[in-house]
Amino acid sequence: MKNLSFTKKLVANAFSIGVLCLAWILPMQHSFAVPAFARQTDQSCIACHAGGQFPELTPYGRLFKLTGYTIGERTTPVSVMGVVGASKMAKPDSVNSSLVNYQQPELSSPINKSLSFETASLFFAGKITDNIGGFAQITYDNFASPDSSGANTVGHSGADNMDIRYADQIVTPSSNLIYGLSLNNNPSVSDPWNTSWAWMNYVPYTGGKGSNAYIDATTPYPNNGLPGLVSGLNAYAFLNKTFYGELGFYRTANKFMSFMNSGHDAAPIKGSNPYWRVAYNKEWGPQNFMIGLSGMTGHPYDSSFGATWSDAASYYSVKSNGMDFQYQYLLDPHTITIQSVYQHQLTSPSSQDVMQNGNSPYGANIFRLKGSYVYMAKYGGSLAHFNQTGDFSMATTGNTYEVFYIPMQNIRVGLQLTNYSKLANIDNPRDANTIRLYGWFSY
Amino acid sequence: MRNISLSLALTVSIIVTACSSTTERSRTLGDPNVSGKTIAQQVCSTCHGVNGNSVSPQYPKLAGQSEEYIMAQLKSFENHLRTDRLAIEIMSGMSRDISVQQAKDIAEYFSSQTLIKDVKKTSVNTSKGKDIFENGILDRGITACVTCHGPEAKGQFAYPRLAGQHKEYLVKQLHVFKETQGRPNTPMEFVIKNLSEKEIDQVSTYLSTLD
Repeated sequence: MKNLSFTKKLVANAFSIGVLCLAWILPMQHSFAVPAFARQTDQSCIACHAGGQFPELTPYGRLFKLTGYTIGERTTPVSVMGVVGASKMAKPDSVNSSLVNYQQPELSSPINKSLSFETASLFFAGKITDNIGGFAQITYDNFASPDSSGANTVGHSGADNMDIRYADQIVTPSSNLIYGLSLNNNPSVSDPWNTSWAWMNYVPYTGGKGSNAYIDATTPYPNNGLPGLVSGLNAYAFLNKTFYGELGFYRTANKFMSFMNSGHDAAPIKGSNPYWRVAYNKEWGPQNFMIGLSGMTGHPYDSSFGATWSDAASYYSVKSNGMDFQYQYLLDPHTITIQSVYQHQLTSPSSQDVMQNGNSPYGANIFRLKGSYVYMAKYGGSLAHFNQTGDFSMATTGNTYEVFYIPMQNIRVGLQLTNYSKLANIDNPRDANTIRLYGWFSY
Repeated sequence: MRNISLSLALTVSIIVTACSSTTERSRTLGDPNVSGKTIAQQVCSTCHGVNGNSVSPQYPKLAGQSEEYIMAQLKSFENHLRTDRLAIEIMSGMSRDISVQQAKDIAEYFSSQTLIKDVKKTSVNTSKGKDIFENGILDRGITACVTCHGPEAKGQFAYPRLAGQHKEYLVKQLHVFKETQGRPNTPMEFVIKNLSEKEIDQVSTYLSTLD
C-alpha cells in the first residue's frame, strides 16, 4: 500500500465494506467466470477456468483465488451474467403425482417451458488492495417461487455467493506459502479446486432450472440449508502448491453480519460450527491431481428442518465428512477435467424430535463424478453421474450428458440431458428425464 | 454482543493489515512502485515457476533465457504483435502495463535462474533431431538452427535459448511459426515451412534434452 495515498486507502477500504454490504434474499446459485476478474488481469477466461468452462479452475485460477483475487489492476468491479433456457421433461404429470404421494412439492412450471429468460446476476468483484479482493453476486431468478395461485412462478432478486479475502504469499527460492482469510456466506465456497460441497451440485450446473434440478432438491442438509443464512471466517494456507489446509467457523449471519444472510434474523444454526478441509495437490507436466478431505459439524435448530414445535433451543447435530479428487490434463488445445466428491452425512435428531417422533440418527451418502473435455476452449462435452443413498427414502441416481459450444468467451450454448434411474420415491424415475437447451452470456 | 465484538475485531484487523501491507509482496500490475522482481515472484511465478522452471509445458521455462529475448517478448505481448492464442488470451494482459524498468528486472530475474530440463538425453533417441539442429536440411531450404540459436542452443542476441525447454512447448511454437502469422517479424516462418511433423518432433525432442 505504499503506492496509495491515505485517501485512496480510505476509498479502497470503504469499497471493501461496501462490497460486504451486498446481500439480500434467496438461496444460492453458482458463480460462473467473472468478467470483472478478466478485465482486472486483461486475460481470457481460460487463464483461470479450464477450457473456459465453469467452475473448474486451472492451477493459475486456483492461485488467483487463493491470493485473494489480487493479481492485476483495479478496474470497474462490476459484471453481469444472464441465462436463457428451454426444457422438456418426459412426463411431468406422472412425476407430480408421485411427488404428491411422497409429500414433496410439485414441479414448478418452468421445468417444461419454451425458450425464456431464467436468471441474471450482477457481480461486484475485483481487487481492492494489494492483499484484499473478493466477489459478491446478486442473482435474479425469474422462476424463484410459485405465485399465490400456485399455477405460475414469480421472480426474486437476492444475495448469492460472497467471498471476500485477505491473502498474502511468501516466496523463497525453495518454498512458496500462500495464506489468508476468507469471509464468506457458504461453507466450502472458499474451496480453491471448486470441487467441495458448495460446488458439488454442479453436474454440470448452468444456472436457471437445470435438467438435473432434482439432484439439488434431494441433497440433504446442510448442503442446501446453510448458504445465505450463515457467515463464516476461514483461515487457510497452501504450502509449495502441494499441501492445503483450511479451518473455519460458521455462525448465523444475524445482527452485525446480517448483511450476508437472506435478510431476516431467524437463526438457522446454534453457535459456531466448524468447517475444515485438507488437500494434497500434485502437478507434473500438463497434468495435475488433487485428493482432499473435508468435514463440517453443524447444529441447525429444529426450525431449519421445518419443525413446528416451539422449543427454539432444540437443535439437531449434522456431521458431514467427505472426500473429493480432481484430475486435469491441460495442454492447448485439449482440456480434460475429472472431478469427484463423496460425502457421508449423519444426522442426529434433536431432543424434541426424539421425544415427539422417536426418530433415531440417520445417514446419507452422496456421490458425484463428472468428466469433461473441451477442444480449443470452444467445443466441449461432459458426462456426469450422481448417486445418493440414505436411511431416508432419498435414493437418487442418474447421469447428465452435455455438449456445449463457446463461440466467444462471453457466450456459451449447451444442450444437456439428464436420465434418472432413481428419484426419491417416484414410481417411474424415467418420467423425470429432462432435456434442456440453454444460452449463457456475461459481460 | 459477542457477535458484534468479533465482527468489529475482524473488520478492524483486516483494514489495519491491509493498510500496513507493502509493495514487497504485491501482485499489483501497472504500479511502477512494485519491483520487477516482486512481479516475477508474485505473478509470473504462478505459471512460469518461481525459479523460472515451469511445471506445465503450456508455459515456457524462462530460467536461463536471455534478457534481451524476454524483454522483446514482453513488448510483443503488450503491443499485440504476438497473436498466437495463448499470447493474446493470457500474456497480453500480464504485460500491458509493465514498465521498461520492470521488464528489465523481470528479464534479469529469470535469466539468472538455472534451467532444469525435463528429460535426460540418454532416455530418448536424439540423433535425427541433433542432425537437423546442427546441419539443417539444405536441399529443402531448412537452415541449421545452430546458426541463430548458438552451438548449444543457449541463445544469442535476440534469439532465444532453446536448450532444456519443454518439448511440447517447442512443438507448439514451431506450429505457430509454420501455420500462423502469430509470431511475425522473425525468420522462423521461412526456416520452418518445409519441416515435416515428424522432424518438428525430432528437433524438439533433441532440444529438450540439452543442458
